[in-house]
Amino acid sequence: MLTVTVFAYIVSPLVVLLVLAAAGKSPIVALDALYRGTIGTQAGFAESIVQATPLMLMAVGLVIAFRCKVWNIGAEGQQVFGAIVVTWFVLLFLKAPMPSYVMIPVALALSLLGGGLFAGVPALMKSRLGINEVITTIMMNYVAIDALNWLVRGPFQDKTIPGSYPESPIFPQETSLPIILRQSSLNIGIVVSVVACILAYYILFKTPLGYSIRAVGLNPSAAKTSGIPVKRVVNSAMFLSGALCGLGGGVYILGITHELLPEQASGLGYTAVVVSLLGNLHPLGVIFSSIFFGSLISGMSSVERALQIPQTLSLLSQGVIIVLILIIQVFARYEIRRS
Amino acid sequence: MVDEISNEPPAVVMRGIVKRFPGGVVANDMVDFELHAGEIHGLLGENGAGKTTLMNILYGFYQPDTGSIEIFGKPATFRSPSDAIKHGIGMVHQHFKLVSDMTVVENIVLGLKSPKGILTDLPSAEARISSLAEKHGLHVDPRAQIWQLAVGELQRVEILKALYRDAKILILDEPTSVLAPTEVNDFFNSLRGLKQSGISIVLITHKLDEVMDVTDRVTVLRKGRKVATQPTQAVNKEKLAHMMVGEEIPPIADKTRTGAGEVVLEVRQLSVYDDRGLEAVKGVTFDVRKAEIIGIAGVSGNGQRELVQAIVGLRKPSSGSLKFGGKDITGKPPRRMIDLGLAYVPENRIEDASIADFRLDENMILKDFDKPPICNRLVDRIPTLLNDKEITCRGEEAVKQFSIMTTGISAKARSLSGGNLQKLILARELSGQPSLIVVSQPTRGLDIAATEFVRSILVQQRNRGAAVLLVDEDLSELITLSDRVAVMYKGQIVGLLEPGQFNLEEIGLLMTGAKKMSLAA
Repeated sequence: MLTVTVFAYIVSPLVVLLVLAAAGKSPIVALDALYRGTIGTQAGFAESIVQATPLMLMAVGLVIAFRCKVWNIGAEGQQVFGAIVVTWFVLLFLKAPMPSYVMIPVALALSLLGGGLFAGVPALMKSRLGINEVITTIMMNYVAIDALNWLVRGPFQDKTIPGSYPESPIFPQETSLPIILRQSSLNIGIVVSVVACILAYYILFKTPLGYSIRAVGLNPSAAKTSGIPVKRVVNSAMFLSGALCGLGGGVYILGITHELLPEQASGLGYTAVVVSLLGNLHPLGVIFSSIFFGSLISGMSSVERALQIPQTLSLLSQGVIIVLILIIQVFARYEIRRS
Repeated sequence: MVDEISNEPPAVVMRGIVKRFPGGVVANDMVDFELHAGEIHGLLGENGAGKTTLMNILYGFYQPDTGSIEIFGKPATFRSPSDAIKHGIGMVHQHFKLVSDMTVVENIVLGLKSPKGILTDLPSAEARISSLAEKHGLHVDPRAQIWQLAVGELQRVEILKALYRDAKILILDEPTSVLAPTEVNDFFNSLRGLKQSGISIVLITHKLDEVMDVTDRVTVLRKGRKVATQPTQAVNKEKLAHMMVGEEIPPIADKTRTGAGEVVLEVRQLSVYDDRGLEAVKGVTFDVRKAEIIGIAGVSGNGQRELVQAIVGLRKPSSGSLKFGGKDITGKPPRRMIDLGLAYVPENRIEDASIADFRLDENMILKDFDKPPICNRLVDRIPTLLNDKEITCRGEEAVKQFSIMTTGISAKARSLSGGNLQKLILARELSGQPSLIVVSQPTRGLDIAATEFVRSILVQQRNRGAAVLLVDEDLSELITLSDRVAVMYKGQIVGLLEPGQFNLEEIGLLMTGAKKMSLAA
């Protein structure tokens, strides 16, 4: 199973070269650009990891909800809300920031809390009123995104620049996540993300809370019969899930953009759904699937630049790759069942 | 026994039908069955007697291992229900198979070729359905959507669906179980009408009243074998009850009377609603005492399920009270009951008592995963990490003590056979010396060895001093194991039999509502 998965991850990007060849582009140049945009150069490697960082946090958050069979489609809204809370906090100290060892932990903690509370709304609607969480989490995404668009044009807007772009003031240096690789933007966020994945693994598989989350996900009726408070477990799973997604938003704004932009809502939260599934809904699997995805984003943007192709073609290629991996994984399972 | 009334060949002749299921359960064992043309034939038996299996074979759902079928004198083999439908057989299952967002007409023509090729021809279908409905007194609005209809109407739709496919033989699987008592009479009148127009009907049931009321002949099955076929006029309810449950009471080892002790569970005037909002349990009162097994007898659907769910905390009673070990536990959640010492073995082992995709050892800790020694605690209060060693230990102990056949404790629960899964559940529930054990259908679907094992475990627990509440549709098992037997009928306890009063015929009559005891206390 594992070998087949690895095979799928290696082979499927190569198929993209065929797509590009069909579009009349040189596959050799594309391959070279793909290589340099991922593991071939330090910059490519750093960019891959940077792109993977917020995805990893959101995907592992979703793993927790999905393991409980709570279909949280609201990662996007939760990460946006996390970033909004962070911005609010940073703007309070814009003129006179505290040292970074205070600013960063507090900001990240707030993003965690914000995301969790934002997910708590659909969680309560599900457990108290029985409203389907797929609908409510999607709707909450709109709430967060529209709030974001209003804030960057209103209360949070940087009024000092003439022309008034929809963006917040640039955050002070004290709030930037420390860089861990010179001459690159690779920051401490990746450490936070990997630690979060390992913690999530422990929570899911080594604590009573994780046990009850998995039990409720696999058989709510048996869980209830055995005295597990199903609704409370659903709420906890959803809170944890939203908290990790919110942290993803926090790491994104403090590590990459350093200001609140409308592009904070660029669809990462939806990509995270795919990443969590590609990681087999396992916290440690998500580490690999999100790095793969980060590399894909970084590599394809390198191909984009090298071949002068439109972004749509690179997005199309990413879609093809994902579908291929999913298909190969199905065949792998089929093989096992037959033997 | 074959009484030739006319020269017409019988509608159905089944000979020597044998059907075994994986796991060694013999559902039908050399069963002969004959349905005369134009009769209503009752097929009577307890749950698990093989009635539905036999009729599923006739409908092509299952293929028999051996045996032959003749339809109107011609040999027939059915590979699927569509073969059976071509031979004029229709079946209405206990659970309706209708599409809820479609109209009655759409449901009835579903799967049939339209006379207009790729286009539907609903108006002509509607006309034909209306005339069929008119003719047989099966009134239903053909344009109504399925979700708008009441259960009685759904049943009529199912019957119309069969008639629309020119069914000459109609199989009805416990059709009255979904009907309100007032609807039953109308329904029987429609059946009589269908009979008048030449349709032969098999009525699967375990209700004696219905057999007496509407059938011409009756065939009784018991444990997969045919007991007899009789004209209904030649039997009465007592005789049928006797045929249905048999008379042998197998002895059980090690059942010395210990003399029941103090009251453990006190049920007072308990009323409970079912999922449809109807009162399923109506003011039930009884005690379960230390070191006794009290058996609840009854035909399924008479409130036993709701009673059990109320006791274990899964369903809130609408009135009345429950006391466990002297503490009021009315409406308390399962957690509270478990903490007080409840063990619960539900009838649906896969759905309610185990997690198929958890390992065996993970299944073992379902009730106490957040308590020491399974879960470590910080300063005696805050739960921290699970103790993997302890969990492994728990799993291995269970496999050894209950001799569970498995490849190891890391196997998934779904890999276990029914008997071994039940052993796993018992191992979990009985650890920690529970003071009250609620068990529902403990041996349903198990093979003989596992059945014996489960029964002896229950007696052991009683001898240890546990109070046991046993709900069981297997009457002979119930009588063998129980110290006292309460009989439920339509949500009430209609009889409470003390030791020495056990009499299958008597219980059979109470169960079917043919008799009621006057209850003191």
